[in-house]
Amino acid sequence: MLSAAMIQQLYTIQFDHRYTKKHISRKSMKIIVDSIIEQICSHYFQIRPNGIQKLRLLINTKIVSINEEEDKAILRSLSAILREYSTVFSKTYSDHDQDFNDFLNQELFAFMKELTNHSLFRTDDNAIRLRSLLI
Amino acid sequence: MKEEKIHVLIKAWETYQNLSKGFGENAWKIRTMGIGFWSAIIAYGYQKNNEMMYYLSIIIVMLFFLLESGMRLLQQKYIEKSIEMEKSINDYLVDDEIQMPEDGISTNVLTPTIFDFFKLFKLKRWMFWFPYLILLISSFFLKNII
Repeated sequence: MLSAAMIQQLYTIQFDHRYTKKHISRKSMKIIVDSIIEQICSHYFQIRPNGIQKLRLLINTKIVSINEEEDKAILRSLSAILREYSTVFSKTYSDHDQDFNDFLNQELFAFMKELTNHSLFRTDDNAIRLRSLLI
Repeated sequence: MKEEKIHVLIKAWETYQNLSKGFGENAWKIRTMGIGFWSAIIAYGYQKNNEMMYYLSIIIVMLFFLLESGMRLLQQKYIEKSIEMEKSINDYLVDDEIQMPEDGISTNVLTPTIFDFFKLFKLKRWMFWFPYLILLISSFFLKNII
């Protein structure tokens, strides 16, 4: 679903955000989120993402046919990320610094929780390390 | 039920847009008035060779800057509300569960803070503060050469 390198990246971000208070650049976060979206899309739908709102529509359409609750949870948390994507990562005139912080604390955090609780990652070392940070 | 909700949301969005537009128009009126006053004072100071007028022109620039800042800050608050409403409308468009904005629908806004005020000086907002900077520099320049 997600590569080991990506989970390691998420661990680094969560660690920096929570403990070292190191500044996380919006640009680098966008690259990571774009990669997450692409990998999740490829895993569940075997397509490349072609627009945030189209992807949300696709998730909401396809989620009813998914049986596993843990998969539904991941897709719902991804949909929550997509909902905030335009606000958080756009280069608009309005100021969105607080939105970025909220995104890290809420949507991204929720996604990481669902991801690390998924059966695919239950015994993955990187995911276990990440899960320990999310308590 | 969903259709009724979306009509309410769209109506609220239009209200916020109109409020934001109103504050934007007021801001421009303040700016044009400020430039008019500044020009008149500079012209009077030049005509009467009165140095005090140049100092007065600086005060006028700062005063109108503060007035326009107030309008811009309030406009920004309604733009933020409008953006929240757009998210809810997009929820409907993508067949998602419509999430209401945190404060629901309300024309109440949080009082702008000093931090909000300093954000107006960000580089990307140069269209707001740069003209005032030009007027200030011009006042000093004209005072010293005339």
